Amino acid sequence: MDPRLLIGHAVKVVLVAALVGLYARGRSGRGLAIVAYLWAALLGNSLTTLWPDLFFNYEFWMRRQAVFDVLKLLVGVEIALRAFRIFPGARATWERLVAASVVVATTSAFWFLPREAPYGVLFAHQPQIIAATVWLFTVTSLVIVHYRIPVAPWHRAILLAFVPYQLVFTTSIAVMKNLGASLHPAMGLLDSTAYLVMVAYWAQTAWRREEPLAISPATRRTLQLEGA
Amino acid sequence: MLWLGLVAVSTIVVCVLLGRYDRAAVAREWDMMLGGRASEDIRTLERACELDHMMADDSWQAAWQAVKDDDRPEAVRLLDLSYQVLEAATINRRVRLRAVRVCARMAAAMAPAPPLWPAHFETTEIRTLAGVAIVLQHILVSAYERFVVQAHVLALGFVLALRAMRRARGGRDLTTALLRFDVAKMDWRSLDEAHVEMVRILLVSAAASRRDVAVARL
Repeated sequence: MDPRLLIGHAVKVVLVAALVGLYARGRSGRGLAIVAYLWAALLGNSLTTLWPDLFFNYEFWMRRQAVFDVLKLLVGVEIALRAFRIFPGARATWERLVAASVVVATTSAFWFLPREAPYGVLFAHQPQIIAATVWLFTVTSLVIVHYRIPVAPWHRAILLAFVPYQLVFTTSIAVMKNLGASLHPAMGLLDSTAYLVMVAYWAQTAWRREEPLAISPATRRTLQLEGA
Repeated sequence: MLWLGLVAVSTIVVCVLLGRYDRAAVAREWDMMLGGRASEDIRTLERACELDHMMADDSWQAAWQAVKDDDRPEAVRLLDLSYQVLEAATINRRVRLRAVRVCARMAAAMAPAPPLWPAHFETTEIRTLAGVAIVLQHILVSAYERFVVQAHVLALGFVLALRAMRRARGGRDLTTALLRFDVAKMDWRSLDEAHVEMVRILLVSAAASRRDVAVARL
């Protein structure tokens, strides 16, 4: 069996495990965008691995990637909004404006992308979109650490896994862009493996029990840490 | 390649920041700030600081007695003991001052910290430092900035006082060394009292503002 297909099936299994873990532990409500992302990833993965003749092509991959790009930005925005929901001062106005503008820009790109878009168009835009997403995650992380914001382990896991994967993904695209499509199988394998690791980490975090925080109930209520 | 570099740098930043992030520690800090146990925490801290002073002073007095008894090796050993107590305590104070600086970001408003007057110190370096701190207090605008600078100054002051004690130990004349050590030790004590005051101000500032407001202003 093609190793890429094998990894694809493994990703599918781990995605299901992550989603079941989120619902079983009651964490699905803590990040609607990431749940949507996981469902979209599962759907996209199932279509390409079960019906490769129909869906294993660049056009489908490109459309799927555009959906992922929008969802990734929404994940970043949602984590920031949830983390700073009771800390409006930490959520600087410019950050909100820029984050919103990035979402709008990506959504527009998704709607106005030519239907018969060539392979190169996506590669031309993908690094910028990824950079915007990663920038959003980085700013959120900086504000969380600087203002000592108590953030849920699930949100931390999302940020901590997403960003390194984006680096692998961008590197794969850059290598293919600069060294030619002949490296596509190798880069595809690298990307799939990194994706599998990321989703496996999420699945593990989704299932893991949270250790209770040794703080007073009053502080817990003030910081809204019940089910945060 | 520019985008790739940006993503790579961001990845390092996120991994370092969130990799070291400790939710339990953050929650404890918030609990300290909002838990309403300020006076109890201050008393505990004062007791711990007083214990350090007593240990250092007792060792120093025993060293002084050993000099009077003409027991030089014992005096050196006891002086070293006194130094080691304060060396360990200095690490503790610097860590606490760092935490105070970090926790100051979490307070909605800051009560003003009392200035460090050069006249309260004997060691030249610390007097100079206190003078610089006074000037900075006039330049800086917000109470938060003054508070943070004061915490930095205190941390540096502890290092200078410890260095003065270390240098004093190296003197040939043991009596002079002991006296110099004592002077630096007294400066260290003054800094320690100022450090407790900083913690008190932080906790009082947090307790003074309505808790929900304190959180909401961040």
